[in-house]
Amino acid sequence: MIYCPNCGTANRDGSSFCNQCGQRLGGGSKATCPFCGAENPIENIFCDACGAKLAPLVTPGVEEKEKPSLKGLSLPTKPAGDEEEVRDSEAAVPQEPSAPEGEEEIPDWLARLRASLGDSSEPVGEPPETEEFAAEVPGEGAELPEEELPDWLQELGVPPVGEVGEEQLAPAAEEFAAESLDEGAELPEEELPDWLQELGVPPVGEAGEEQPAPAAEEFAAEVPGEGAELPQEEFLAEAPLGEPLAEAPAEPEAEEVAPPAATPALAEQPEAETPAEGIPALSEGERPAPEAEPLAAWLQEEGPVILELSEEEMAEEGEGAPPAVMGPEVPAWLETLASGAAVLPEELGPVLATPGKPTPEEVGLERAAIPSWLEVLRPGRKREEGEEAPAEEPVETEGVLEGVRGALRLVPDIDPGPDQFVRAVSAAATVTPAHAETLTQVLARSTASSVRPRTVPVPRRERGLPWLAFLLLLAAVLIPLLAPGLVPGGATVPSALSAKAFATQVQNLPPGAKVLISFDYDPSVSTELDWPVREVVKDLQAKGATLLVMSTTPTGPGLAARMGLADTATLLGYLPGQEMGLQRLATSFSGAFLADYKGARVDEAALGVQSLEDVALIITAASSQDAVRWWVEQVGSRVNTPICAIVSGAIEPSVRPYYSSRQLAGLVSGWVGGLAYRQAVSPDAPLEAQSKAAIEAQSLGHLAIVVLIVLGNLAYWGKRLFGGRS
Amino acid sequence: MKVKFGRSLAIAITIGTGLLVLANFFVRNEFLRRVQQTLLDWALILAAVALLLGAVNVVATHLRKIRGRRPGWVYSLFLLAALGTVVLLGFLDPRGVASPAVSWVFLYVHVPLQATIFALTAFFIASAAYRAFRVRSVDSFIMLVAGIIVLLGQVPLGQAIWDRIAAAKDWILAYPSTGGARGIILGVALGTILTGLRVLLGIDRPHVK
Amino acid sequence: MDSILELLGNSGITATQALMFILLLLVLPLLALFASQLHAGKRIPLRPIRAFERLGTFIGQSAETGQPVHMSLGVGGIVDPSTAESLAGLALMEHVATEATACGAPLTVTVSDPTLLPLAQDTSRRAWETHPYQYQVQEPEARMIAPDATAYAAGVMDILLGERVAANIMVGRFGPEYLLMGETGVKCRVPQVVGAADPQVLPFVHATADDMLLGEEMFAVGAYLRPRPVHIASLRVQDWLRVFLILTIVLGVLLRSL
Repeated sequence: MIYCPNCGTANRDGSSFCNQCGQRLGGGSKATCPFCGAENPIENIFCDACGAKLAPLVTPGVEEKEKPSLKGLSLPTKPAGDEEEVRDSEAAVPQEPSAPEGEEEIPDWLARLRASLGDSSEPVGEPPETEEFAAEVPGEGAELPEEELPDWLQELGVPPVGEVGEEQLAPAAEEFAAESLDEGAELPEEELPDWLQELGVPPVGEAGEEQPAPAAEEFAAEVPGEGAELPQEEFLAEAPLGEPLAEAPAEPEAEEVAPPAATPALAEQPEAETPAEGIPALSEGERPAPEAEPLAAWLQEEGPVILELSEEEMAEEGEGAPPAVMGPEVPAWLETLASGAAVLPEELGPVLATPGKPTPEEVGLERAAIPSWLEVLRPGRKREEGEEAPAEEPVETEGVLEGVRGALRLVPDIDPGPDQFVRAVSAAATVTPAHAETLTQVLARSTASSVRPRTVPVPRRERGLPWLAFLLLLAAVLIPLLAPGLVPGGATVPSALSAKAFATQVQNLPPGAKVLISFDYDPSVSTELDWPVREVVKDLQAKGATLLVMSTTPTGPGLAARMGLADTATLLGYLPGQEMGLQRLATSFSGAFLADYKGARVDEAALGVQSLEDVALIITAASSQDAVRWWVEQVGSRVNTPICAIVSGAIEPSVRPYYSSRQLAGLVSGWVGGLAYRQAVSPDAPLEAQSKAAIEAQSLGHLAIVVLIVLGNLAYWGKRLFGGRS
Repeated sequence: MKVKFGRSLAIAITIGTGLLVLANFFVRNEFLRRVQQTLLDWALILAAVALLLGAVNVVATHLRKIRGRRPGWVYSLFLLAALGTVVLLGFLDPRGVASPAVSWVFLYVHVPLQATIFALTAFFIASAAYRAFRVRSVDSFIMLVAGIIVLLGQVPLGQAIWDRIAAAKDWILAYPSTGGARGIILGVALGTILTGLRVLLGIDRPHVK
Repeated sequence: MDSILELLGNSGITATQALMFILLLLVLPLLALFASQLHAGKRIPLRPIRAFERLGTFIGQSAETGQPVHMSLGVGGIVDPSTAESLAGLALMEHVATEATACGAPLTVTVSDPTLLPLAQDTSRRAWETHPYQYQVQEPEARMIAPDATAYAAGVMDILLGERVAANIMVGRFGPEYLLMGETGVKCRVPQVVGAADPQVLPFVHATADDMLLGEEMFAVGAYLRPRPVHIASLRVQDWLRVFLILTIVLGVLLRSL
């Protein structure tokens, strides 16, 4: 099996492309390990050289959109064609508002996507702040004047950018931006809060060490969205954080909404010590099942997270600082603020003074600034001292992560960071009632459906059936050609009244009469209708009738031209509008055709036709009952000119009632009808060999189908009577 | 707010247009007739524009298939090539569809292809007949007999087997078959009327968010 | 009867106009009456239609296997007599698209008539937009194959044969070319739900579909899948009108025969 790196589908060995998504598999392309740069076969899940995880970290279907955010983390690089494909698919939908794309832009979908992923590069979180924040933000729409901002937030307005790595701050800012965008709120450049403007937000997915971070202004300017413009003081109030947080604990129905698969995760939650109680539980419940597991694992962990870094690494990164001990609630950047030049906000005091664990300040240590790329990889599992890492986890043997186990494992091992709360809450906010309702309905229906499905029986031995059908039909076509006259009945039919009536209409035409023929059939039935139409046209021309030829289908004029009518008759061309076109034609002939098939102007005066009353006979050659109905209803009810129809055998039953009710003056259907017509007009004229063969072939074809019906019944009854041995 | 206004506007336009056309059905009025005619002309123009959009959609879909090298992408190449060729031929000649080149394509490519695909129906009818006409009950037996009579009654061979088969076929088609079909058609017509009215009254809004 | 028609004819009213007017007069008050009854809490039982119940199974299978559900809206458009059938297909599509996106099941919708394409695309976009994790699920793909019925059938056959679809749902206007698609579905053993109204196509549907929406059942999509009082009321009106028509036919036959 080769697992598609794109969508995860299992493909047969040796497959070149994924069955599911068409992604090239095998040697066609190489996956570059984002960590060590080694080239790997695309089907590798882990890097050959360094053991880094290469396969997608998330469910299929996500990858197309999320790819940019994972760039530089662990996804194998995909061929550029696919990215263009995504763009194409959006370009192909003209109605949709086009989301801005490209690496230099941060569309809101990307921001939201990031918000819903578990791979954020932001290692920090602020559950107490979040809680507090929730308490302070009264809810969506409520006014929150600037002076009521929490102190700590106001303090943040002047962040010591120089001290705090931009990369570390960026995700937080992004988080805010992304969530405000959930509401479709527009954030004009000048209305961006100062503190956000100063932060400098790097593009999502490029918070890595290599990419320069564009300014926040640029980001904000490119934010798409409609809806209310948010003045600065309303920004926080409008942010969707407020409402869900405020409402979260009071929403017990969240669990009912959850898919059953999420239940294990829910069950585990009470044990989890979550700083913001209630809120994660709610968001967990509303998360799709696939995400529940990683989260549950994370939630089970208690207490602070110890980043396992060797001293050597810390020396490199933090200038001799001991392994970082962090309270889970304390965002690194906030801590840096606290330890650095910035004034520690009052609210942060209790936060930083985590019980049981001395803060770095208390032990007199300086906190190391951990670069974002390292934060991304911070292992989420706290291990007890002396506990051995599971053997299967690869131990890094080189690079800055030397000695760290499982640093590049699956999502569950990557600390989702306490900011997960924020994300989870925002996800909960976006679970629309409509969606929840739909899911509940789906679940209810799948269990409530009591009706057993009826299935079309497909016999096992049907494999040979196409061949049998093919041989029988081939024989039906070949026998009349090779041995004409062999088929009983030959090419004679008893006189059909409707065909006789048609013939009478043609025969009774005065010399030089004008006849309108409408080619309302499409090329697919041309083999059936061409012959009878040709027979009728031949007779009309023999009578010296003036032929006006038109069509209600775009292909009709081509079929008429094929019969040479472009030269021997007036080919008016295509009348658009179907039923309405005919209604118009019936009310006024003049102006209905501006130019004929050849592009010449139609001169009604020269034609001598001012209205359809001036035409002696109307003939429609149709392959759909609608066309006949339009003629009968729109034209027949308005003018007194008799209408005759030449139709394909398939629609004859539904058209015949019009003949029975005399709304059609004559009716010819298919080859057999054409033959009946011919016998009525000139009984003694010999039939061409080809026409004869065609009619005999039709006889045999019908017989072949009767034979197949009988065979089918024999097989069925044989099986029923002899228990499948037959 | 903007969205809601747009939505109300769309519904108002739907109802207004529908009522105008409906009024024209009941009242003979030159003004109403002209309004209806204009609206119908617009509908035709919109349909033509929709065809352009459709062409764009077809091209985009197949380009995507080619870029993704999805199974069968070579056929998409053929499709695009054929599409481009015919469009080019049509535009190059001022006579448009009447130009010899387009006519040639129509006569020697389009018509035979269509006829061939449609002829496949014969094979599908054959296999469906084999499978579907099983005698499981009295009803299905009656259906089988009626089917065979109609099948053979339409061709000279049937006449040779039984000379009254054509009359039997005509009877089946004229009475039981037409009766059943009319019942279905009446039901469909009622459904159509109610669907139309729901759209007209703004209850069903397939076109508005 | 003739004298009534003559009287109408003298005042410039045709029989069709008179009949349609009577129908309108009947429909609107009945619709309002039934809808208000339903609003007041009256329950009208609907007979189970298996095809509607199968849809959920299809979507579930699709979500589990990752194979797409194919939905065809037929060869009709929205500026011709097939509009009602096309709208019925769209209504069903709205439901299928909403459930498919909710469950993460891929959905491919194909149309033949270009006028239907924008509506189909809009419907799929709307269904997708209601999804809270919309960027994690695929938006249902709505695409046009060919405006010509036969070419459309060929395109759908290709999808059924080549894209390993989990289920095939076809609701809308179909002609004889339906058989090409329906039979291909049977050959690929794809479960099929088909809704068609044309009597000449119904035999083909019966031979190939697992579950059918025959004739007027197609127009009951709203009442069954989006049970709003007014939709159920509209079904009820349909039934009453049917009774009215039957009585009219019987009366007409009696009057003519006696």
